[in-house]
Amino acid sequence: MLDREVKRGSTELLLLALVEERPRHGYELAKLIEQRSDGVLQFHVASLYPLLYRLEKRGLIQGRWVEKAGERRRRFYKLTAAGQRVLAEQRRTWKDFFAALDRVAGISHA
Amino acid sequence: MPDWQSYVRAHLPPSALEPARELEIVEELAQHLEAAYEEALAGGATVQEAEARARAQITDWQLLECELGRARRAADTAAGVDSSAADGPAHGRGQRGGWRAVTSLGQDIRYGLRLMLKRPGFTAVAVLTLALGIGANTAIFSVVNAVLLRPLPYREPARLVVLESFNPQGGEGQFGGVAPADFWDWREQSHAFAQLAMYGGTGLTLRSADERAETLPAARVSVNFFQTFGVAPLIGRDFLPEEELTAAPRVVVLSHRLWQQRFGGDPSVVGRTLRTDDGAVTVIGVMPPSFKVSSNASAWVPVMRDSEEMKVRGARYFSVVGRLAPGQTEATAAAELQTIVARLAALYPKDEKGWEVRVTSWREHLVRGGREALLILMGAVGLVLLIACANVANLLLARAAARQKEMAIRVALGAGRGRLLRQALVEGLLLALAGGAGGLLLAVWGVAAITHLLPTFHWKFQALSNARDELRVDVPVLLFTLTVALLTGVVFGLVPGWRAVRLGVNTALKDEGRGTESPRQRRTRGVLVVAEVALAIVLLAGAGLLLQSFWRLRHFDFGYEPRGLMTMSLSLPPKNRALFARQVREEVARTPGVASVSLMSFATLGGLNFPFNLEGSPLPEGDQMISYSAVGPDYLRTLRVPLRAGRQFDERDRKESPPVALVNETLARRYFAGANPLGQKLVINYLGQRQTREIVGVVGDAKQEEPNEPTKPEVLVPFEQQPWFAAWLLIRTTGPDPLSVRDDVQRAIWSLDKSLPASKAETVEQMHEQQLTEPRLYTLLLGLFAGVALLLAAVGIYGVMAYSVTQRTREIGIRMALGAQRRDVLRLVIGQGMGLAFAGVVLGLIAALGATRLLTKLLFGVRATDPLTFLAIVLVLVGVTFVACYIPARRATKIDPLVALRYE
Repeated sequence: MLDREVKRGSTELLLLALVEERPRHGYELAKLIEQRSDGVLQFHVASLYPLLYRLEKRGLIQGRWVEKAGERRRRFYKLTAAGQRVLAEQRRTWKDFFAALDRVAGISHA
Repeated sequence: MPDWQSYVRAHLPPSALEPARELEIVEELAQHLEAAYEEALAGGATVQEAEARARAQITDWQLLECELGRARRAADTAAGVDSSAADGPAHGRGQRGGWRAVTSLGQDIRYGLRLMLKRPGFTAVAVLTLALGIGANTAIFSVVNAVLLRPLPYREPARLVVLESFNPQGGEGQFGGVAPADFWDWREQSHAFAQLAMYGGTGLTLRSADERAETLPAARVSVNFFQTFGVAPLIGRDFLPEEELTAAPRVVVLSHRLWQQRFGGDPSVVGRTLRTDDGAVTVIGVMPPSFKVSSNASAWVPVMRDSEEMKVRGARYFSVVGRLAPGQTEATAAAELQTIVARLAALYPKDEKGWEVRVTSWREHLVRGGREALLILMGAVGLVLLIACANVANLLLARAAARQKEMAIRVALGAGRGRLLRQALVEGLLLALAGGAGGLLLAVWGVAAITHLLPTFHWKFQALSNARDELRVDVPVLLFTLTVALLTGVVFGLVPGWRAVRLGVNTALKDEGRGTESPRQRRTRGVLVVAEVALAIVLLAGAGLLLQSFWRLRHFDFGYEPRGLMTMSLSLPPKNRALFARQVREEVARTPGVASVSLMSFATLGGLNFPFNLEGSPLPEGDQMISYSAVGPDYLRTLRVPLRAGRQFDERDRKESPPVALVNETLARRYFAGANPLGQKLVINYLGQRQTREIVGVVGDAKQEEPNEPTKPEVLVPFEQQPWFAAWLLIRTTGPDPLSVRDDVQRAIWSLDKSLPASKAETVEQMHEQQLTEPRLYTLLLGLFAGVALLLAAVGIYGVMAYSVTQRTREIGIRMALGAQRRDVLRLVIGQGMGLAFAGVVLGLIAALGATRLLTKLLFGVRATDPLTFLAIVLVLVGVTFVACYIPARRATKIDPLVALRYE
């Protein structure tokens, strides 16, 4: 079980990384995190949307309603330029963090 | 498919987001649930399973709301001014803060409403309790408003005063009447009044074309009467100064009611001539409906200033009203009158010595004792409301215990304490406003009920009887209700709110993991119940004392037998009154069902007061007032008044025979102290005429006054020797219902003179009942409020005990597992409840001993500290409390130890 703080910090990274590829909506994000982490990381809806909201408020992602014919409109989030910078920074921080862990505790990560 | 948007909207607590953004998030969340639902369906789940799976996506709505709030705050702090600037240059930060406060208040209200609807049972009990409290307050306030507060419909009513003669030594003469000659002297010699007017009751007998007559209650007034009140006639004109003289043509001003009823509101009535028994009178005007001075008067006629009657000094039977001149006060006017009265006393010592003048404001005069009673009732309903508040606070506290977890989590997740307090307040206010709306409804019914209880016209409670037509729920009453509702909302909204805010997060989470009540909380609820019981005791004590007085009043011994006795008014022709009265008596006596008949100049509750003295051995203090009535033969037998000595009147006592009199025991005792009054002669100043009469008998006291007034010395004279212009027939019937012979008696009267007006018939019991109007009103209302208080206190105790039993299920289970018997459990629970009740009773008794003193003036024959009453109400309260404790106690004995141990 990951520590709560680590988890909270990491979720930001996860969401930013996922919307970097292409704009996605909330349900898709929840599903992707669950699938890609083989169920280890599970988002409660109660935390996902507030987090998206917070990221948007900070200007790291931008939500936009998209309508497709025959479907309900959905809110898609895409990474902003500011988000791009923060994501790069976080990636580096996490990389450094894991490298440090690896050197100390002998953890190898994929 | 379920409507996920409404599902989300119903579950998401109010958040601190802008409304537009919140709507978006609701939509997003709904889509999330919808996607989960569809995916489950696609995976082969049934509709129910799919729904359950979707719902399982969000279980902790509180957490969601808190996270959203945190997210917003964090973002705001991080971004600072830049972020708000980025949102748009038009939004200043202050503006946004204000807007946020408004929207979050809206959210609080929505959330509060949602909570109310979610717990319909709780809401119903709370709202009903408050409605009772607020409704009672509103109803009584509407009476207070109509009687004490609403401005009187006169010009500058604060300048209106009443002048009354009184004799501090006499004991009699407290009636407040003014002698005609005194009035004219006062008016001439005083400067404190812009106007000074007199008025007195009279009868106006109107004749219709077919010679049928109808006597209407009317008033004789000085011509400046309406000017004094500053009210002009609705149509027509006021009296002219010369219409106060005997030589002037006779004129009359009609009341609005008479104008409507008898003349159909026809404006051409002005100028019309009416035929009366005193000759033709011309209608000169009609007063507006709001003019209600001596409110039973149907018409007003001028007094004749130059008549002999206006020179009478010794008989005081007019009312006097004045309008203070600019710069004058009641005190300055009284001081000036004092010097005038002293001057008159020196000039006319026989009639004026010892008499003084009292000046009271018109409003005070109207209200008399009513003000105290109304303020007591207002206090009583205030107590009822306090009890209702205590009950609702108790309910909210019990619920707060259940919601403690919610509160604790919100505090832990950073919800501001101010916000929580506001949420609690909003919930309290919503309940109170709903209670206020219900209370208003109850008040409308209550006001209708009170209107029926209020007396129809009676000179003693004019203000109450005037209020009868004016009782309504108007703007001041609505404002009062709103204020009361808001105040109560604040009072009991703050109690749980304050607790929630003060609560340490850790304590709450630890405590509330199990859903139990903290000792402190239990104590708070206990204190509330003790207070409720104490307040209920105060109300019960007041109601008990009033009830006792009322019982004593109803069973008061007047010295005659009121049952089976009827009075009927009898108009007498101007000539040969005595002869006609005798014929009527004989005719009525022959009517089937009539056991005996007599007549008197005034029915009970009336009588004139005249100065009297003893011939030969004059009273050392001079003339004393006695009550004077002319009565027919058979008076004693008809009323069943005992003859103590001498003889009664019979057919011997005619006009030409020697003047005789009967005196009552009070007179005999006071003025003859042991000596034999029979054969003694008394001197009566009969409207300036000297009458000497021999006492031929002493009769038992037949009380003409109300029970709480002292019995006056009374002189009875034979009707034939002093035939009054009108009389009352006294008829004792053989059957139980005297009114059953009314029509036959009326026919008997009309067989002698069919031009006489119809007689007014009333049983003596009805007359006594009317005297009881006011005590009945107060007893009934206070009794009702005490009943509600008792009920609410019982519900309060029941609630606390039932909750306590639920809380202690485990403990009781363990006790029973360890061998406690049913009896022990009963004792445990009932003991706890009765302990609270006992504390309340002790405190309540102390408070009641102080409070019931306020009632002293309303009590009759019972002291404000009557031990029997106090004992009785304590027994009632203990009995009711016992039942309220017994029900949950019995439930406790049914606890299965095994189930109880698994309870948590």
